Amino acid sequence: MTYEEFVDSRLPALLRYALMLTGDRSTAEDLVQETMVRLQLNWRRVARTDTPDGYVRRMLTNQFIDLRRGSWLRRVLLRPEPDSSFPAAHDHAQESAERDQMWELLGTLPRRQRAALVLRYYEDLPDADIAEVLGCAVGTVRSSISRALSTLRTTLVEAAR
Amino acid sequence: MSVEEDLRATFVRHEAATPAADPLRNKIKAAVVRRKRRRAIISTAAAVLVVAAAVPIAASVSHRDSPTTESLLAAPVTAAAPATALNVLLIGTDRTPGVASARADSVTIVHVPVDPGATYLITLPRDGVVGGRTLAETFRAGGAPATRAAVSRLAGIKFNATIIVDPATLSAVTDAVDGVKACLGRRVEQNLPACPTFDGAGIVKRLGARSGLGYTGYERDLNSQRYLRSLAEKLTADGTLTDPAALRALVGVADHSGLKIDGDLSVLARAAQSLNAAEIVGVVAPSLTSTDSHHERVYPALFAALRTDDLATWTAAPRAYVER
Repeated sequence: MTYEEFVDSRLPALLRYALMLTGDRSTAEDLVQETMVRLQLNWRRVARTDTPDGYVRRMLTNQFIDLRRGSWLRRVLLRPEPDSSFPAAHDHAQESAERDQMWELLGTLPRRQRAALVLRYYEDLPDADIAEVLGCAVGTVRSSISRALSTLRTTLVEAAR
Repeated sequence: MSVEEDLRATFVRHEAATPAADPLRNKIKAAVVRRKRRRAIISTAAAVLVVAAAVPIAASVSHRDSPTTESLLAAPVTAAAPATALNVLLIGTDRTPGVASARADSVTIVHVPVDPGATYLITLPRDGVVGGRTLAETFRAGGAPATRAAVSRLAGIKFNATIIVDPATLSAVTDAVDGVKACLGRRVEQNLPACPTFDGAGIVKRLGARSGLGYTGYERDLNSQRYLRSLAEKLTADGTLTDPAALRALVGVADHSGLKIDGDLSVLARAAQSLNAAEIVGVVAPSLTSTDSHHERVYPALFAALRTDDLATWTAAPRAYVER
């Protein structure tokens, strides 16, 4: 497969995945753009030693997790032109009047937990695959998800009162 | 609805907000073109950065050990060979905040040859007498221009640029990359050094002449070079050296911390394609309080090799003070 074929077939799905991870269209675009640029520049190596699917998913996810968390490299990479980004509030304005509480709550979770949730409940990956993407043990994936669900449950229950 | 079902439903609901693929495809194409086109600029930035990173030490003028650690400018080597070799003078100072004047602790010639493959760092002893004065005295009296003139005369070369770095720059750059893991033991061949990860304060202290760890100037210079190599490896491995935005950011950190460059950056740019293509070869003459014997035994041949751009041959011979 050539790089172009890969991009053509994967781009829409990657954009969806990035959106679920970040909760923000602009950030999702930036994440995917950066990942694909790196992939293209490294295509021969990646195609030879790795599966491009695994590579992009891992890179995208790791970049998301490191976003604005002390990783100077990611900070810089994802905002090369400051005027091209919009804050998350922009997306809120685009949503329907009915507030999506779950979506907002996702934004409050630690990024690793959110990533694990997206990988299981949106990408429907088995835990072993999630562990590979996140670079951790299967047990860690399970406890991460368990903690995240517990947080969501507690907050939703309290809000419902 | 269970929380899991609620989650799935939320995700599905937001699929409609997915950004369009086609516009992004074009953006990606443009970004790739930009990134490839900027490699020359990256190299310059890499050179500046690496230089800035290899920074000196605080040492007292009265300290007798001669070659202070040097930070060296390791300009990346170009895949498209430059027309002539490049020489950059890197002066490390001991400038501390709040102190008016700074002393030159290290004076290094960074040589980027025409033939790609290696970059050379030649550390000169700070107490080396040039034109009747030590290099440290020359810097104190006449600053960077005087030092540049003195070294030019000594080695018989012209410099394309001078870079002055302070401990603050080393510290800032080290912290900006989240620390650098380096093996800075005593002579590497003697024992297995521990390889800790240094933060900004740690590396400045470790390379400092007042570290109190009993290292000679020679060892400090070697460690400086080793640290530089480790930093370069880190920047290569994490992709910084092929990323214009990341490099600009890091150069920004160096710049903000007080890095001074006198010279044409585009000249430095000529020398670089990717740092990971170039080996960094360090030359640190053994320290002595007097450099007379070195002047006779070492420096004439070394400087001749520098002038004729044949350091590859000179460093190929087994020597105690060449490390790669």
